Amino acid sequence: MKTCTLSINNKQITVPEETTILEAAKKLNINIPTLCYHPDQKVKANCRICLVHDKSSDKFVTACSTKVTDGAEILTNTQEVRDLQKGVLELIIANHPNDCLNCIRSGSCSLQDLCRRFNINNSDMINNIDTYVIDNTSGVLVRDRNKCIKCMRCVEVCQETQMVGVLSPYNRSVNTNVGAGFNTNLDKTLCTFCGQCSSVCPVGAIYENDETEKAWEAINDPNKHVVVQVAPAVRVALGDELGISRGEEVTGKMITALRMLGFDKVFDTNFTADLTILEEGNELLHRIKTGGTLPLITSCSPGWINYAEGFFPDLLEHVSTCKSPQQMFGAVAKTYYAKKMDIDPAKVFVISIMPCTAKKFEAARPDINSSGFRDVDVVLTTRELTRMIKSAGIDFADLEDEEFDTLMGTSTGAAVIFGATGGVMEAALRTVYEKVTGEILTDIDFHDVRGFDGIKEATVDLAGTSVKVAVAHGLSNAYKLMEEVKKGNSEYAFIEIMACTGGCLGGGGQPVRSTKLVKARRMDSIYRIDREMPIRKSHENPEVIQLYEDFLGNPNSHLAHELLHTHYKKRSDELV
Amino acid sequence: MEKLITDDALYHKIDEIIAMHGASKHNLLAILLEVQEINPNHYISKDEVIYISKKLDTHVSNVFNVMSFYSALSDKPKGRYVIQICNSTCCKVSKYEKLQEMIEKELKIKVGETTSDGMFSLEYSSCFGACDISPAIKIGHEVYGMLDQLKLKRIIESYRGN
Repeated sequence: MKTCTLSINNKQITVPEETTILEAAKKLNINIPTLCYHPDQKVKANCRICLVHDKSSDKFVTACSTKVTDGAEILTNTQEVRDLQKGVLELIIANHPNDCLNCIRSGSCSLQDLCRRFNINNSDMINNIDTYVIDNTSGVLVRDRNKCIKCMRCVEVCQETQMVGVLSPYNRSVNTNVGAGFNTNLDKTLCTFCGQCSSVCPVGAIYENDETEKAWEAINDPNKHVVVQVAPAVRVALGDELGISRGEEVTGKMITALRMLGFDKVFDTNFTADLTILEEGNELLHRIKTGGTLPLITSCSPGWINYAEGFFPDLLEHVSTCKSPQQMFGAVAKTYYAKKMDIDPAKVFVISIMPCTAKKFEAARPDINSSGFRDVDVVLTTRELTRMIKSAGIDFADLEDEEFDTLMGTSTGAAVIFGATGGVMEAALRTVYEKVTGEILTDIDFHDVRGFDGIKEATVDLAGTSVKVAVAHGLSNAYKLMEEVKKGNSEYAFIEIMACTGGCLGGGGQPVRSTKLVKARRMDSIYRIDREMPIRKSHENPEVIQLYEDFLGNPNSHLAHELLHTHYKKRSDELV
Repeated sequence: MEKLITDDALYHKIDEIIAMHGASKHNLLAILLEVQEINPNHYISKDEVIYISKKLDTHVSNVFNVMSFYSALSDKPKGRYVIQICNSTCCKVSKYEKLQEMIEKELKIKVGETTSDGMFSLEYSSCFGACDISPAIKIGHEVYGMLDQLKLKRIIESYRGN
């Protein structure tokens, strides 16, 4: 490998030749300011805040996009460079509303951080702030074009990672902004509400519709019995903004905090993840046995469901009819749980904590109420729960560990891995293998379906029949598998699709700044939880067994179908 | 998207234009310019944009991006004749503003507007190479220069007569 030796602020460093100045400086513990730069994305170099002085050519170059050269002398901290960077910053904030006090991203805003770093107190610049109407038509994602700094990170995620293509730049020069075609409001677009845009936005230009007030209201309503469920990926991300190192598991503290917030029962979505495996596993076996539509595709990820309904409406019969674990939980809580506890189901109020923005959309689907009530009443993202915990003044990092309530709180290792890409597949294989072969699965780790490869595949021997399965995460990878299904040359029997890169642990509702590095830590934590679980197969979950015995009968029974399954339909032609 | 097609002949022509250039998003600009040309009101409607994006297998937002970037493309209807006043350097030196005033008075509209009878729209243009006869205007493919009040009146009347 060829290397370059250069000096940055008079310190020598030798790095591989393709390294950028930004990366080289980082190795010398120098953080050059950035805004549009994102470690998991392409270099854009459009914000210009990372300008540094290349003394050898006597030019100011953007550190994020400029590769090192041998013998270069780079200066990042001279008066000239500081003035230049500060000037760029002042130009950006002259076009940015200064309502930090009531901005949802205050405290996690890259622009705000830079203003502190450059000690911006007063600017001579005349403010020229846009007055676009804020778009909260979707009730899921809020788009505030006034705050957009045109870094184009959301565009890359929407166009390339997800291939949804709703967000694009439009107009030019000072009028440039980002939006859907014809500036259509988000509710009239093919947006999947995956929320990845809100996850990469450095400022408050696109964010989740905050529903914490609805949660507080329910908690404080004596006529409501408020039940909370927590998705598997939340427990490895909630600590991120609460004084715990990123990606560390915080299940016990999380349960304690939820009780302190005042929820009547603290349950686990993992319980219904196990339930999902039994329903979906049976659906798969039934389809294989009866020559039904294959490949069967998972339905846990609402971003994926929205994508399928919008972009592959002719292939919806491939998608499992199983509701997602979130919805199954709601349906079971308002029937089985209410009955067992002798509570009027009308008083049961289900709040779910999700790593996901699309879950808000899913819970609000008009036809998802087979119990007679809306399955899930309020969906909060990990970010919103973080906000509630801070608001209640809870010292999260110092909390003792507590356990989930019983009846819908016990789960298995198979359920927690739902939070990582490949997890649903692995959990399904653990159960389906034993159901088909009647043998005990000795090595239950399916390493082929783990990890960050965009598309993963595995072949499993089920009593002499070899079955091929595949896993995709990130909708651009889903697109590839779906094109095969469309052409009729897909060789898989079962496909798991998650809308977000890394699966739910990288969901659009997770704490911002979820880079690939952070996602990898979350993934490690999830598989560690799985390893340490006493039960690791869904069909051995005692509470799920009890649920079938006492209430549902068998997987795919009439009642199970009514409560736990749903259907999909093409999204409107009017959407752009 | 089929139901969006209201004018068979128009969409048939769009198909022809796309076929001629090749149905690839790389030919988007050329296709848009020609589609706009066949529209009597010199614009591309939202339905047409959606139709073209489907045909080119690209997102509506991307076509809108291109549409909004180039001032030569419009998503709103214009008059039958679009009068473009050059406001680049040479015409600025030759005081295009005076010419603009004359046109605005004659047509009773401002730049950016369309006459109530839908005949004329008025807009600025950057240089189209008629510096030798500046201040210049362009109507469709015709360029007119060295204009005075009388000449201008005659030109506008000739279009009105059509």
